[in-house]
Amino acid sequence: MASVVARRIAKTYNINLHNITATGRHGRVSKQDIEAAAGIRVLAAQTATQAIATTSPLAGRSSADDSRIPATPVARRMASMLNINLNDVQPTGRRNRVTKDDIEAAAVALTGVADYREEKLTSMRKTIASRLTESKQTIPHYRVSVDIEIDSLLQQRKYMNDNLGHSISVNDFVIKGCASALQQVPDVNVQYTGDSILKFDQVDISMAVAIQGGLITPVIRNVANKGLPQIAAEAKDLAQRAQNGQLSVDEFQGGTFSVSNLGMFGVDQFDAIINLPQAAILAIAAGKKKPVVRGDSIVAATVMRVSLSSDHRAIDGAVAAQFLQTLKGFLENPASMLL
Amino acid sequence: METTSPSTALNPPLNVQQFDLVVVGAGPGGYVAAIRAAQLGMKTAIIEKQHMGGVCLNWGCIPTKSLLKSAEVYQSMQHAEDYGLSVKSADFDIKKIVQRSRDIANQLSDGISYLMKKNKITVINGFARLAAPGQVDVSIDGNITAAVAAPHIIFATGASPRVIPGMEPDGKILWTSKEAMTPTTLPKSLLVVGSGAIGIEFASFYRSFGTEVTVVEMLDRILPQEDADVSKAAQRYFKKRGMKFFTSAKIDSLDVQEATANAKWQDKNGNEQSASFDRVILAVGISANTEGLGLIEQGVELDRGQVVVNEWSETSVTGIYAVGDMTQPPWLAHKASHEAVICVEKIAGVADLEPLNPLSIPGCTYSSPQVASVGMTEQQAKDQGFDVRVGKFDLTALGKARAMGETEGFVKTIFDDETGELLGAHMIGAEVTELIQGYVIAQKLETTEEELRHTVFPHPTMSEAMHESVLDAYNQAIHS
Repeated sequence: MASVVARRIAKTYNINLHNITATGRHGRVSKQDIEAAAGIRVLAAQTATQAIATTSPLAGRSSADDSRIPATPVARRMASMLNINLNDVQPTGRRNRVTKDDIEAAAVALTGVADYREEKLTSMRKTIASRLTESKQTIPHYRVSVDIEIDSLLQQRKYMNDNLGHSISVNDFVIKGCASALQQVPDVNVQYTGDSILKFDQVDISMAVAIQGGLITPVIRNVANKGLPQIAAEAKDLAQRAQNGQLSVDEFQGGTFSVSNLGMFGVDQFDAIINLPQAAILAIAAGKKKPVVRGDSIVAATVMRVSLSSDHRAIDGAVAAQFLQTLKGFLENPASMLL
Repeated sequence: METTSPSTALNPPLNVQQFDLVVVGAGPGGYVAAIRAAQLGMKTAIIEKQHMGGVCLNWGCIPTKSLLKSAEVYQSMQHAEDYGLSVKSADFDIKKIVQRSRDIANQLSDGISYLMKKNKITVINGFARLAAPGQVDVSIDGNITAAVAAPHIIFATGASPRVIPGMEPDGKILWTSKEAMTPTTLPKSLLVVGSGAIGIEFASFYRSFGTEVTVVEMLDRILPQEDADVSKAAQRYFKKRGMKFFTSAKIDSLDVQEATANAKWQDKNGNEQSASFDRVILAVGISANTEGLGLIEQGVELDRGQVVVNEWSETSVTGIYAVGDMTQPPWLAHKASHEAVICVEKIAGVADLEPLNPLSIPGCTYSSPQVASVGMTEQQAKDQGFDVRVGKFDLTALGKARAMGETEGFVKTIFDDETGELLGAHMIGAEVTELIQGYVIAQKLETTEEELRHTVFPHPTMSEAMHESVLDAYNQAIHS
């Protein structure tokens, strides 16, 4: 909240309103607050000139007499309000006169505050903001992670794709693995409602898809009863239609568990925020060749770290750990998912 | 010995004349560009299809000001008794009034021809068409009569009155500005559609000679580009002179008969109004003259019919420039001229150039009373987040205004409370179009209220109101 005038001054001098202590009416940032903030920066620079490193944008500020520097009256008044010495301003006006624009440019350069432009929130960003804020603020999140070796998985996948003509991704294996693990550890396939816990007997997996300006989580239903080729085909179709904004509402609502994969960006590890009203989400990082100790020797293996964020109100740590252990077993031994 | 084959003798190849700069259109944008280019030592040609001086000089600013001067003198004659004078019978001859305005336009057009000659600018008559980048063909009645080439070509072909489908002017009953300034008889009743500067000037002119004038405006106030206080005052003064206004009103139909037009429109309360008028003037804006110039064919970008230019009047095609009414608003002669000068100086590599700031372009309406303004309106300043200080001074309190018997109007000034910058100035009253440039200079030099406060304004003049308005913004006005 800021007054219109404060907002304009902040914009002119590139001052981030969030860094300002509001003292105005109704807790608004007032014009005086901005001036005070700008003033503090300038004063601090003046009293601590020696202490400032030469690389600082505030270094070398002049204290010489600037009364003979040609400047427009508006520029001179603004300079004195902002405590800017005209010797520090690059003039661009005719006959080297300092203009209003020059002072505005100098104010930005001397305070060293980054430039920005303001973009109004889209309705999607608003939804993302409110849902994730609610999730992070109401759900007691905790995270458990594990390294999964996927050399065997990659070998099987290569055979399926190269010899059987499928197009199955690592992510499809992970979705299938989660479904299998959730069947083994059904206490993770749950939702907390406040006075009860919903335990689902079917596994519907929401997968996070990045789209222009945000993300969306289309759902693959009843994953446990589907084979890899079908999961791959559905995942591809949903992702594509999500990108094109062609999903119907029932295709991205519901879901009992979520997966979020940033492996394609090569990340080593990350944590995800739970997708309300669900109780758990699996964050999948990139599979990378790493040295692992096997017996007494060090060997190379493709290691993928996954991190499970759980709602402690519904899922206890031991249950989460058991789920990860089961998932690790399935993904390191993909054939066991056939059982 | 040279021989000429029969075929080339029949179609002699056009000798392409080479110039440093070619200007298309000899209005206030084009002829000023040509003169400035010649001053800077460029070999310059100007191509004009009709009149030297363009619309402004032949069919716009100048002839209308001549007409309005006649109206003003006539009005003074009618009020002679207020000044202790008596006029036996105030009368007028519309033909002579129009003739005077045509004579003045012609004199000035000849003056432009003289200026071209004096500056050694090659004048080519005909219609220009961009044949290729850097080359322009000139034709008369469809036959190519000349070809010129130049690395820099400035288009300044202006604009024409905008036509609304279903209300196409016929030149007899439905007038555009051109017919409106050359009447042979005075209409008894007149409908003016559109209340911008052009519409209001004609409304004011015809009302002065007794025509029953009705103005229909689509927006919620007349002179909608002006400060809301000015619009309100203007409507009050014009109403007092007997004009009728319908704002927030839309013309539904115009049915042109033998000698009249029946108009139907919805007023702001949604009630259907209708009336019959001798003449109708359509003054609903202008559309850029870009047809047939070869601009689109050569890849020059247009946006809603206007040529898209950057701050230096450069179009999307290198070496092709556009200034004035064919580009973005405001559509004013002095904007075209100033853009032309900057454009040519930029081409010539003149140092220290600044692009034209649209907020520094004054606007004038030569009605009775006159309207003049520069910069932001109060609403615009507030919308942009300025904490404003507003000064206002009524002409009733001014000695000179009383002496002149012209006490209608006021001067309003808008300052940024924070920096003292003059954000805008808005005036309505006698001769205010002559006063506004004082504030334009103040803005250009970025003066604060302090410099204006300590500027000495001569007494007794109308300009004292400008001083008082500034003082009033800081609660220091002397005579209010």
